[in-house]
Amino acid sequence: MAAPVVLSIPAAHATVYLSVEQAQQAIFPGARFEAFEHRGRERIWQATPGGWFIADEVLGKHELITYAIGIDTQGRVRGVEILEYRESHGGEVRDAKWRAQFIGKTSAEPLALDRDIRNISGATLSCRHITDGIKRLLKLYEASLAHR
Amino acid sequence: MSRAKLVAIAVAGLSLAGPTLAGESPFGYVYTTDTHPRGDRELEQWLTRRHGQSRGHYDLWQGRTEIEYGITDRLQTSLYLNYDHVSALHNRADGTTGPGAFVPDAVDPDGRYRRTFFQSFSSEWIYRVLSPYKDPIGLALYIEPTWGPDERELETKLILQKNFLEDRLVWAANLTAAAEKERFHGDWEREGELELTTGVAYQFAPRWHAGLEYRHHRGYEGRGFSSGKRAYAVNLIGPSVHYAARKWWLTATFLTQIANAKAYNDEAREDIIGGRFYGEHHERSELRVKLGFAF
Repeated sequence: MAAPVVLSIPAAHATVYLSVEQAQQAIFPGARFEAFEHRGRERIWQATPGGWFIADEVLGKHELITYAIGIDTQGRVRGVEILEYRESHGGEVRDAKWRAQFIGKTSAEPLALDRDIRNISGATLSCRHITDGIKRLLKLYEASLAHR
Repeated sequence: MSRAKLVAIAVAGLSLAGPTLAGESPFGYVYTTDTHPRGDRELEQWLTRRHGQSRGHYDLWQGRTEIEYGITDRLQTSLYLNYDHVSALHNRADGTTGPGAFVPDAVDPDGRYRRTFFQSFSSEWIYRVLSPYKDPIGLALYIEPTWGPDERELETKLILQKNFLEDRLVWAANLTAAAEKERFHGDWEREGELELTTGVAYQFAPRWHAGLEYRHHRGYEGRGFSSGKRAYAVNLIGPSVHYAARKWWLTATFLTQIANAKAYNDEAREDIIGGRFYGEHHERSELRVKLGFAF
């Protein structure tokens, strides 16, 4: 699906929680990473000994949220990290318990709020967009990375 | 109270504000189904300039200072204070000053009339039934009683919202029914209003929305909304812009009355000039600016 047109205006006040390197080591401790050339906006690394690390952005209510997922060699989510969060509300998506719901999920699962992913009241928009984003990255993995 | 004092009150209201927010609408007139999360508080300051009648000079500045609070994640309440400043000179069709809405009978027909006054208190309640982020369409119910020295009103709204393009495009519509009692030239009169308010807003950059809003407003005389009591119908349209920073947000909407107003009785017919209706608090254009802060 084509992405809607949104101008890129730098955020005045991004809160950086993790760098890409820190997020990579949080999900794949001790692994080495090699950047993977990709035409889309997502940033992709292949992990050694195995797995993929993908960083992407979704829109919160007003600002972009930078997040990353690790996918194991079986196509299952190994971890989700929030790298940068700029919104005044909805920061509860950084909660480890909420992020842990995604571990083990594959592209075959619904990944929908109030179905297999619990919503956080007051942070619905961030929950929805991150959930949709993770689903999209799993589809991307299935289409472009799984058979490499 | 002078206009300068009115502005000073508004600025003082703003200076009380502290950090952050949620749940605001990208529109100046259209309500969305977004409500504040439980425990969230927000201060809003509105200023609406209603400008121009059939001729001469007419400005009505309407101020509103509001505190909103999220009782639950679905139920929001707010309390607000409404106050106005009117300035009129030769604003009537015959070239005289007043009378009309907010301009009494006994004014000098050749002089400028100015007045600043407290209008009313309102208590607003919004309950979100369906969320546009989880359900096929967002739905909220709204009720707002208003009390003032010359005004009593009960306003209800059905609020709908549908988002598209990953929530960047917002469509919202409100169906409003209001029953009011207004003291006009010393006598209490019953009136009713029905309104369809709708708009679309697109988030063209992080923090920025641009939109278009439309209002179809109908006035009724007496109690009820039967076609026999219908007095006039007015249409307004115009652009809106919304900016949301981390600590505050601002929305501005400019509406202009389309020259296709309709009158359904002789009194209303007299108030239509050049296709626009100038009775019952209607002007040529309206500019509304809203500022919101959490605290």
